[in-house]
Amino acid sequence: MKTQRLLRVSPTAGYSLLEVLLASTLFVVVFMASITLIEHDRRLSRSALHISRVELMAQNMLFELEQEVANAFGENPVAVAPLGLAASAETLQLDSTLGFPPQGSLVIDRGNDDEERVSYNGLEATQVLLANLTRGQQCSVDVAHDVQAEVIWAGLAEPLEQQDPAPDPDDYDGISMEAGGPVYFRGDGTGFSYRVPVDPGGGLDFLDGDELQWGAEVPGVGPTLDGWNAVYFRAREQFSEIIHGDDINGDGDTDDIFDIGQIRKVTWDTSDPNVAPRDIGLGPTNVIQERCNHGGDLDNDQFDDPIFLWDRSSNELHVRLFLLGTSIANVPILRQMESVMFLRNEPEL
Amino acid sequence: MIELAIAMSILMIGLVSAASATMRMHHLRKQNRERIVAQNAARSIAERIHAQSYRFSESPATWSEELLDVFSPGGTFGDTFDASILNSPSEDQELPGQIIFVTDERLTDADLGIELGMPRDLNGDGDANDADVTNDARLLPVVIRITWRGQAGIQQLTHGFFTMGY
Repeated sequence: MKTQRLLRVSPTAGYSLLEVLLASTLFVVVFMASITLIEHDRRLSRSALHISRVELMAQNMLFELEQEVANAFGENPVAVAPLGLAASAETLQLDSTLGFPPQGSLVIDRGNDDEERVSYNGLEATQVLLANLTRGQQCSVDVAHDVQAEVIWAGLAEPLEQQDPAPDPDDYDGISMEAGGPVYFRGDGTGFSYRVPVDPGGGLDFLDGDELQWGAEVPGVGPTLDGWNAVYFRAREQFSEIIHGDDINGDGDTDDIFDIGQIRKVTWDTSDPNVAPRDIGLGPTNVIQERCNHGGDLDNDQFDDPIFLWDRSSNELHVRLFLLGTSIANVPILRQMESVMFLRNEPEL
Repeated sequence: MIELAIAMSILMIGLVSAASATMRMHHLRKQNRERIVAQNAARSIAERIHAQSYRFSESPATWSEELLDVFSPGGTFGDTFDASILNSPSEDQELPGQIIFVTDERLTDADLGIELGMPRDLNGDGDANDADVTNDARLLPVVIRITWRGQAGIQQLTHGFFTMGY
């Protein structure tokens, strides 16, 4: 019975070669389209996830920073070099290093012809010496400096007292757009040095009489009046527009070089050199600054973009972060996040 | 042929669904970013208001008047503000951010559209009946409202808080 049924099948049944070819072609087209679509989705998701993650980390960092500095009081590490500084010298004596983080960047003779940027990573317990200098940083030149030369921790950017009329160009390092209009400031704005109310006894009594006690909680020491904090930008790698052919800051050229790094928090004890500073990363490692122009314009709005701008008169700390991510097709994109924090305490309270 | 067509149709439906889901996630991420920008802007403005408030608190008699001058239309700061990438919701509203100082003690939370514990005594005279406490307020409710046209149409974020003149 079964055999008979099989025999009744038409001799023209089945697929012709043309049909098979047509079906195969259709299948291949659909299959290739599917693969392309999946690959596109994968790249889109990956790029979106990457920049989203970076933004989320930056947002969390801003939250933490707000909680940290809301009670803080900012400091402006400025000193003079009583003996000057010889060219190529690797140790610098200051009148006081209080407020200078254990490592960072200095500006010597700011605004003068012999202005030099120097990095250091040694803070002596004598509170007058900075060691392990690397001279001629950020496109400056290693030169000798006269006695009583002004030395500024380059991290802090703060508005000048004179805003109107506009100060002399030698007197400021940048112009930032703030809520009330353009603000002339000096400094690079890559860091912020501060102290918080502490109770050296370890309790919650932050007052000594009517005055707040300022310091920091140093790991291994506890809350101490000799403690200091700073948040600062540390470069880890570079991004070159020349290599990638992308105009990151929208200034119309592709020849800029950027430092990419992270905002870090360092806590240290100014009186005990045996206590190792605690230096921890706070956010994503995608924060960008233009090399040789830290604090400069990053979005081509013709105004500078310091990461930290502290207005001592209003106790406002403006934090701006430009984050470098990659979009689909690995095209780099910049995302900006910013926040203003009101530092609620003052030393004389 | 029919079987092949059915198989391909099923495959296409699956792929289009997957692509739609990806695009939807992409849009949600954009919405999320817009909301983060709005939150940061609202918080920054709140901090600026606190900073100005603190500055004027040295003169309690004129605190509220000076503060309102800064954040009123035509003031140093004004009562509107920009918020980075956020677009204005309409041509009638030039900037997405609005700052509203409440100087009428009688307004309720329902009137303001936010939970602030209103009505409330704002000038310390023991009642909550004053229609305008501009000149003698010791406490001022502030409502920051950001409205923007985003990925999902018109969006709004409202943040309310108090600022004090001491």
